Amino acid sequence: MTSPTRIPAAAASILAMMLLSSAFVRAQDKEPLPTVHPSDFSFFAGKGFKVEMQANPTEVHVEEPLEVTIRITADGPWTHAPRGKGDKKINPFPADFLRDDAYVELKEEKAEENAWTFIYRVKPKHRKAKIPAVRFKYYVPGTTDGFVETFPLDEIPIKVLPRKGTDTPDEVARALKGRPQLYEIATGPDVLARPEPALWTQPFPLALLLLGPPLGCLIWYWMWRLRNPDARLAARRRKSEAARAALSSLSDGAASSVRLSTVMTDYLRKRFDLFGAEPTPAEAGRILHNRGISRPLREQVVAFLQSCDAGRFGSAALVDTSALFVQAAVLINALEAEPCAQRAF
Amino acid sequence: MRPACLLSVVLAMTVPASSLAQSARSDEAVLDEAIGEFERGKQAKDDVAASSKHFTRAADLFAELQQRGVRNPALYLNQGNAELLAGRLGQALLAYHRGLQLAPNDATMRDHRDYARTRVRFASAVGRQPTSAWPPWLPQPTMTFTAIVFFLCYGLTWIAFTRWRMTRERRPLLIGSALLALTMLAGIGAWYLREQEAREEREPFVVVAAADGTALQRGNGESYPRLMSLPQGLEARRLHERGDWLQIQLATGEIGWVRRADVLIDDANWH
Repeated sequence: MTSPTRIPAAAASILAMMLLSSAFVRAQDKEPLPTVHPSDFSFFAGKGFKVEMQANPTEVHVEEPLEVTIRITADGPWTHAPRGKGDKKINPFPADFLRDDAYVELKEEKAEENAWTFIYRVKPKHRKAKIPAVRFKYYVPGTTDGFVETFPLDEIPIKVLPRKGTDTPDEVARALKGRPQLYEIATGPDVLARPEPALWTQPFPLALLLLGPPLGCLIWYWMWRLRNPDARLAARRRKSEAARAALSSLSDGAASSVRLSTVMTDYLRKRFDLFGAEPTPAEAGRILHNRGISRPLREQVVAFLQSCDAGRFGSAALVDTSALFVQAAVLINALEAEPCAQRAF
Repeated sequence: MRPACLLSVVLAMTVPASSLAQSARSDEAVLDEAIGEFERGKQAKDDVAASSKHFTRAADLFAELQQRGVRNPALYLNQGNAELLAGRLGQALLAYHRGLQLAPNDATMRDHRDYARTRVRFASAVGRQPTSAWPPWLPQPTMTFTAIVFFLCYGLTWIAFTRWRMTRERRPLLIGSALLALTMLAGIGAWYLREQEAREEREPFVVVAAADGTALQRGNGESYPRLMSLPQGLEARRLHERGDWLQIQLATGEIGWVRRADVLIDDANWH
């Protein structure tokens, strides 16, 4: 690769962070460092500090390592300088570089009499990665506003080339080779289809979908009424005449259990849509329940029909038909008086 | 001076013209180039380095089509395959995720997504996606399907009740009631799916796209303790965003912060 480019650098505020926890050495001058200091203070104190920074190589592929060396020298006397290995966890580089400990490390740190060197190994993430200009702020003892910053420099011009070789780890590449479906792709106009909003999310179609069915059904019902004008009327008439017919047939013939049962079931069939040729008392009770007839009356009707059945299929002597006759008329009138029966047409 | 002026005029005319020509390239041309690159990658598949280069180019071209507004399951499947073959696991998983949002019942896409997940190098069970409890043979309900069921049941309910009104028979009443229940069920299903979509916007899908070892920090800064290292391709959900940092929740429930630059996020912009 190319030879290292030397760049006089002005400072590493980041170094200040890096060395925050370090001890201080060579306290020749006993004047302590100010307790109040800028956040980017490097913890160096003395006179005539200079910073040099270089990157090697300056041309590197994405995710390949390069070394960045920061060298601080003191031309004049110095009193304080951080020492120690530094802190590997501190990251002096921006997000353009891989920051994981495995990639960013303080490779080497050397301290000479008047020079300090820090070498970092970093890997650029992408082609636009740049090493930023750093600022170095140190303290000059014996001055009022003793914090001095070295002259800021431009960023290090490194050239990041596209990723070298493959992005695919070897084991992934091997695994992918065994999966032929991945090598199949779709072609044709379908691949260029753009998303279109669903029909039912548009205001007009949505209104049509919501209002269409009720409107359609309304029209259908209206047409049905036009075609069947008598159906409703006939139903109402049939039901209103059911009670009258039942009472009249009660008075016409003899009061036998069979006849009373027939009259009552006919009435229920016409009035409450009781179905079946020979409905049982329980079935009649269910229908009346569904039509909303009150429970006491329902039970009376069921009991009446059961008594009729007893007379029909059992001993007729045990059944008082005259009482049943009276009860039938009472029940029909009571059923007609029920509010639900009055509401029904 | 004069030649310099002339040069600048020529440059001013040519540079926009060339960039215009670049942007004026039709979708068909971009797709053809992407397919061509993919085919070249396929032909060179024995040479991993060369094929990866072609697949990367193909994936970038498929992504360009997306930026132009082309969005459909086939495009996302193509992009996912190209990204996976190029070794960009995070991008591949994001492409499959987007494709499955458009076509949840695309078995091929699901298969490839599941395969890509197996390539994520988890150090432990932390962050792994749980196995779906939905039977693979059972189609997943989509918003369109649910809407069709809803409107169909809604219309039939009206018909059944109208018929009951005409005849007063029990059967249309029962059928109408059953259809009404189905309509309500479909309505609840549509609401649930809408909630899922809202969650996608609220807590979008996030996939780690940087290298293995991306740090999950306790807080939004390097100074916070590092909770764990995340592998490339790990899928998570974004909870909050603060500056350059995202708070994410892993599939196994852990919460931490990662740098925005280290992840790809399926935010609402792509919809």
